[in-house]
Amino acid sequence: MSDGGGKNGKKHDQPQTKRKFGGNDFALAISKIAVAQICENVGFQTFQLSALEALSDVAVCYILNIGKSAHFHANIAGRTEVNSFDIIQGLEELGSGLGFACSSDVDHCLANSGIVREIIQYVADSEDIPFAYSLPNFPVVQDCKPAPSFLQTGEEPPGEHIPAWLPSYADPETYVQLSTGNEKTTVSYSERIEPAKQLTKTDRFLLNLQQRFACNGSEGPSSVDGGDAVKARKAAECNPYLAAPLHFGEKEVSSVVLPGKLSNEGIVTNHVMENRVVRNHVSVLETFAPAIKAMKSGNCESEDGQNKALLNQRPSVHFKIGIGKKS
Amino acid sequence: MNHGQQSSDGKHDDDAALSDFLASLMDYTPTIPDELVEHYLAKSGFQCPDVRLTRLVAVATQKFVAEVASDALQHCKARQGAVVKDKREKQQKDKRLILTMEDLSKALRECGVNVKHQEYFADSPSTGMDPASREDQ
Repeated sequence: MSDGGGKNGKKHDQPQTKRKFGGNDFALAISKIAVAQICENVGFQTFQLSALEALSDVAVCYILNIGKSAHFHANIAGRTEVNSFDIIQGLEELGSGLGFACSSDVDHCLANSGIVREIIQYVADSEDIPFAYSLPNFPVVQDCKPAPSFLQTGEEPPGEHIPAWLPSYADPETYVQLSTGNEKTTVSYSERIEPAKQLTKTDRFLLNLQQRFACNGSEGPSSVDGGDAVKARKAAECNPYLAAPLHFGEKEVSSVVLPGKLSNEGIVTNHVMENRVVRNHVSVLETFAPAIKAMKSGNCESEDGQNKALLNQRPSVHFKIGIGKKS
Repeated sequence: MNHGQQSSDGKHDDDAALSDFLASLMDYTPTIPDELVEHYLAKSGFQCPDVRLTRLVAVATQKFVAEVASDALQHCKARQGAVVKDKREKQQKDKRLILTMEDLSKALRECGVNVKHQEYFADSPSTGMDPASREDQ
């Protein structure tokens, strides 16, 4: 409940996130208005928001309980549709806690129940106050079109085991990816980030990474035989994880220079690869060292030349070890 | 046989009274709208195309809410009457009747609904401590 306490003393870097509206919020809002109108009729002039919300929650629970118990009584009587006597029995159950006139009579007719008499009296006494707004029928149910079956589209199902009344397959263009080359994926990524017009550090890093993998993939599979070579190359070009593993000695790799002094060296600026390592553990940073250097130099225009330079040299890694601030 | 006839006549009267009442409900517009009641009844499994039954449920709910509200109003008025102050300004300000959580929880407790709300909210573990000990942290 929002009314309960004073202001929150915590520092918020971002403003409070907007509450996402669920499907039930519309109905809850309407119930709040209706309950407020009833309370106003009773004599209240203002409301505490938390109290109004609590009372409207209780009213909604009351409606749900009536529905549940009426449905239950109808089912017990062997019916699926509810009639007025089921509702009266449900109301008697709910009202039995507080008690109503003649509640102890076992054999009374339901139509003559004390509950009904009380309701009739209430309707006679109270004023007729309609709801303040006009409402549409809710919830709005969207017609979802099911996928057409093989019979409807006129296609033959691709297999004897598939009956014709099942929905037909989707267009093959939607799920085949091998036909698109490597260039298309990188172009699509850069096309995606261009409209944003602001290449953040993370975006530039990812772009570099992707192009590095592309170069690696094109150099990679030399040991694949026969007709699979073309396919493997194609697959490797678009997905670096499908590339065949390199054999020992196939690719020249520079020797790793272990950092001597770990405490006084420079700072790793890339916030994605922040590492607080005590030992000489460079395996992760080694892979991304060229990209980190690219980030530090901040020169993204000459990407091709940069890639070649990066692949040949592996600069030493500088990172700072420090005690992080615990807030 | 006479007794049976009388009881059947009585039942007939009761049924007639109920059906008359249900018919009169169509003239009376409850404050809780029909669409809202239908939505929640559908959620609970209630199936009935008859509008009169929906109106019956709406009127019953309205009666319940009105009873709870009037109980809370009585608690509020009792609290205001108990406060006797010399300042007239405060008395005039207190004439406004506000539905508070306190009165509502007392009224709902009689119906069997337990509504308890927080007295206060603390935003950090050191809230409410002495300033001297707070500075140490």
